[in-house]
Amino acid sequence: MTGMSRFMVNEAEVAAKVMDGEAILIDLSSGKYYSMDLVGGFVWSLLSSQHSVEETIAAVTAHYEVAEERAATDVKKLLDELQKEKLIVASNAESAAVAAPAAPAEKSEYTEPKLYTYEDMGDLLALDPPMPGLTEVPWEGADNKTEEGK
Amino acid sequence: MFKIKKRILYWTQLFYPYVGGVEVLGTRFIPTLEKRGFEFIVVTSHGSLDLPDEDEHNGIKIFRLPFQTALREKNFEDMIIARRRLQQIKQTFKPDIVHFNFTDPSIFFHWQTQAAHPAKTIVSIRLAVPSAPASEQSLLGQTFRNADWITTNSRAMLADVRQAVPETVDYSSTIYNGLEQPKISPDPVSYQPLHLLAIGRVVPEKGFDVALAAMPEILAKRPDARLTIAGDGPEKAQLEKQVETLGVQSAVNFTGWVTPEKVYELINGASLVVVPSRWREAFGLVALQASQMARPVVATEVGGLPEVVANGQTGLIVAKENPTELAKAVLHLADSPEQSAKMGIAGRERAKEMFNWDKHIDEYEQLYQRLLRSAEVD
Repeated sequence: MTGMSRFMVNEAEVAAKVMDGEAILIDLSSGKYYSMDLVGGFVWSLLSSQHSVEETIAAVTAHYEVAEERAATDVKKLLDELQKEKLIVASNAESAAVAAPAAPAEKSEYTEPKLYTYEDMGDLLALDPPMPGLTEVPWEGADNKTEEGK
Repeated sequence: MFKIKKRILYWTQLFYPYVGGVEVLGTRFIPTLEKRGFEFIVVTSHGSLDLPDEDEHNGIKIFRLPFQTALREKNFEDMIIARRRLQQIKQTFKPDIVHFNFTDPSIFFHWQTQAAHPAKTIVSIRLAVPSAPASEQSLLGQTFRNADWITTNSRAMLADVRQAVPETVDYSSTIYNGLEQPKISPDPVSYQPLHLLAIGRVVPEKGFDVALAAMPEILAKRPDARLTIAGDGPEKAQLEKQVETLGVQSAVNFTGWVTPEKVYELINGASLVVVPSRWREAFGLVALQASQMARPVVATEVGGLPEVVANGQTGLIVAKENPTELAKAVLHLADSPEQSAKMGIAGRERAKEMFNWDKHIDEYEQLYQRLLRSAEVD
């Protein structure tokens, strides 16, 4: 990986969405969920739209109160994790798919971008499988009352 | 002096109009604590019914969010809706405490929206969770680490939580389920004929097939024995087939689904209640209901059941998946009517003492107050 390396979402296996600045990713084969908060979501939206590592670091320093050196360390660390989890893959694109957002007049507070993993989401969803007609019996039926008789 | 009510956001996978144990408990829990000066709203899912997003039941404001479709169907549109509505609800209601009843992973959305309005978080474990160590890369691990307090309804579940994340030992406790006294009084127990009762969702985890497999051994000694299985579920057809294969059709009766109110009547007509579960029951509400009606219980040694049924005092505990042991325990009780009647009475006393409603409510009120005081210190 170099500063010029570009990446894209591993679309064959991953669904991703940035909502209100925060990213949620789902590994469709394993059922694992991931999230990244505001700075993480910002980095994700840049990296996943094929901005190079250098361009991403530059955008982070333009948007947040952070020194370039620290931004570089944090972005590369996050990138390593995203690659390790196979959430992004290398791209041959020579430029980003979309332009980086314009630098704001005032920079925002910086926190280290982190990838939160929820490896047990599938297991937890299976804890209490839906059983229509069992736990889900309306009270009207339970009370043997009709709509009129309530 | 005017006192500001403390606000509790009560979160449960399903609520009114559903009638599972947690849902029914919630509909009684909230009004009782409202009388003690707390203000509640309920955040829940729609379930499978077409229910309004906002609703009210007996004065309790209910907000239904699409958590289930968002997570189960990996539906990003619903995730956005759930997240934004939850943020708005938190910002408007400004809860002092979020009380999450853990039966599903919708707590994911709570952690995602903590910044909207920080509140103390109580996580009440309502079903068995994996007891293996829970890593920081898991929702369960993060939930147990981030919670301000964790309650379980049995010591077995508390041990599981502490095994999953050992530091929870400092902020976890057991608050046993409590039930109000049934409206009907127990009739004297009859063992002629021998009437066995099993109640619950007809799913493999409940082990009703083990109770059926015990019937030939029971019938060999007590031809008058009858087993009633009250409940409904996907396993029913399989069980009916098993009844035919075993040739015990005349001794087994399926009632189908019964209303919560009818449960006590059914228990009143039974000689004893069997709880043959093979999964880790977090508590064992049916066993408690049986004790309330002075019926001895034969239950398996899983999860919280051995805490609800005191072995040798209020019933007998047997190994799971063991029809012979189950049959022996049933026959032992049937052959010792005096001892069994004493067990039933002891169970009723123990239910009043250990699992009573007021105690349950008092302990939650104390927990709420304790967390509110710590919030003031923070």
